[in-house]
Amino acid sequence: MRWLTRVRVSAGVWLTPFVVLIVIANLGGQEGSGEGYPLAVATRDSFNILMATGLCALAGAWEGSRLRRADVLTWPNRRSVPRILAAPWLISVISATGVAVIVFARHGALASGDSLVVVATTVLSLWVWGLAGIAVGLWFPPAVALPVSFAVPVLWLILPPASSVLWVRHLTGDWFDCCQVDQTLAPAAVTGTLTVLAGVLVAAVFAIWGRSRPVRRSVRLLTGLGVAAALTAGVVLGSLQVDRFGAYPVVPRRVSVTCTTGKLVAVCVLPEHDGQARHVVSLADTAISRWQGYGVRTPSTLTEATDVRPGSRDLAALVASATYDTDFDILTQVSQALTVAPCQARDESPADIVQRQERAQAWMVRTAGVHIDGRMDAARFGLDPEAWNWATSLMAKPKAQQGRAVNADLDYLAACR
Amino acid sequence: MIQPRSSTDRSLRLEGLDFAYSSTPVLRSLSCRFDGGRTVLLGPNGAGKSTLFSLLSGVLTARSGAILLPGADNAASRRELRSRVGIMLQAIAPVPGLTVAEQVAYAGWLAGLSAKRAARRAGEVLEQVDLAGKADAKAGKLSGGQLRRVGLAQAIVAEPEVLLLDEPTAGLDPAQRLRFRSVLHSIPGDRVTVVSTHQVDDITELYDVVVVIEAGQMRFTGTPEEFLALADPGSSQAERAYLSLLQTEEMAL
Repeated sequence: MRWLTRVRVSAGVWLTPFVVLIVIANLGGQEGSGEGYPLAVATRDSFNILMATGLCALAGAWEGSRLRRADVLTWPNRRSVPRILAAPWLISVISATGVAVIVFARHGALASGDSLVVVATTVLSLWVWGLAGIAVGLWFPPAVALPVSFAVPVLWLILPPASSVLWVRHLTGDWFDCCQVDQTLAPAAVTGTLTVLAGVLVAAVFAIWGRSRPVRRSVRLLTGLGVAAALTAGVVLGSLQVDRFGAYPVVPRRVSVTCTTGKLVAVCVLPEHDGQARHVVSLADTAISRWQGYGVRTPSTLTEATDVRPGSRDLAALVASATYDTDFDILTQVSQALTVAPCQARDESPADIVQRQERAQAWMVRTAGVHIDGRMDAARFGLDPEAWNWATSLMAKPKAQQGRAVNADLDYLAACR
Repeated sequence: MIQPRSSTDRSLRLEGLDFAYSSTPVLRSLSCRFDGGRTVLLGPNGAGKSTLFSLLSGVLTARSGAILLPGADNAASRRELRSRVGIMLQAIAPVPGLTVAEQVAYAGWLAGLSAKRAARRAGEVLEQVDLAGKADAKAGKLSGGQLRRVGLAQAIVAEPEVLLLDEPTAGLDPAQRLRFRSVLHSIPGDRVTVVSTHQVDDITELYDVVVVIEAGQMRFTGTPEEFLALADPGSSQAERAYLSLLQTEEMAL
């Protein structure tokens, strides 16, 4: 069949506008999100693009139904089954694949290894569900094949996040909650999803093989068993890889930080914050200079590195997912970095830890000597008014006494493990 | 294209073909030869005609025995059969959405032609089957007789050396049947053409050889005249010859 004919009669081509619409509608308002971290942007784009798997499967089912009506696979063809199905499959997935590549490329997801994994898995999902749609179309009449092939991949994407079993969602390729800038996608989430996709792929191949054989009961039975076994194996083996995860399929990101040294402090940031490092150092220098004037002991390094051992008074960990867009953001992040208690890594922080932390932070932001636009109050910094009032009282006392009080709180926080 | 081993024998030969569905034998050591020209294959329902066509067209594989294509000394593989045998199936189901020309061209592509050549050949064979005027019509909108001619066009588009027609006129009204016969007549008769049918009233006009199989075995092979000689002359002579042959065999069994 000539390509012009294929294009004229193919559902994949007719569905292109819908694919574009679905992806664009979901992309709305998300541009620039992800803190410039290509992996985070890629996972959010991936979710939107995966919504098109239903349309790929629908287009595939349409193509499969047409071939089924004409019984093409059981004709005594010289062409092999893969050769016959290649063009219908390609047409079913090409528009979604094209949109995916454009969206990913525009958001820089093709440039890094981590996000390329997301791109590859997303595109594979489109391709595998397109083939699964063809298999369904080859077996069932359009009234069944079309709605089923559209609904199954869409429901597979939508239902797991609504499930109380949190790890199931990591099998779909939708890793919307990944990742903060100090995190990366857990390899098991990728392999788990690929395992499920492999199951769907093998099931589709089984179904297509069965449809290309002369109709016999034994062939139908073997096909049914093969499809069921492939799907079950895919889901079970995939589940075994992700069932240890909670809501977030992430692991710490191992990437080197770049340090910028100021007068009093060095600031080490991940590649995503390179552009802001100089301003952060400048502001941190100003604040630390003021705090040192009170006798407060300050760290020599502020870092976003993920392998920092908590509790050191010489090295403070910046929250890597932070933004540094305004001076207010920077002051908040620096003061928080200095008041982290190691024991806060546990689920529940002792109440006195939170209280001392908020008091120290309230004092720090008010004595930093950094001018920030807008109001200066507890609510804006997310602090308890009691901590704010405590700082107000403390600031009325002599400088040395203020420094001793804050140091006492910081030592107390550092000792909480 | 697969090249057969050279042989001067231009006939299609079957040597001891055995085939069974599970434990039910369908063809039993069937041996036969089909020479160039048109052969009619007769036999009651369940005789194994459709199974034989499935074997000859490479859809099924025989349990034992060999199929030798014209000019070949060795048994043909399924791939060779699919390359060199064209078949018109009993039920013609067009691919939805395609025009007649596209449908025939698609069949040509499936049979191994390039898309470009298949499109060119489609135009030629639609002339042969008298459907050139319908080339741009949707295949799904054609009458039963026209659809059979599309089926014939699909079978010959890749210029097969062996042409199999399975019940080509079944279910057609007399006018459509006559039209189909004239189309069949117009197709060059040098290739091996085997027509499976239950209609025997026109065998002298259409066919060079008559072959009858029953219960998977050869019962008769000869010219139409030899076949008709099995019955007394008169109207419906062919039907009576056919029935007489089968009854004789039944009694013999």
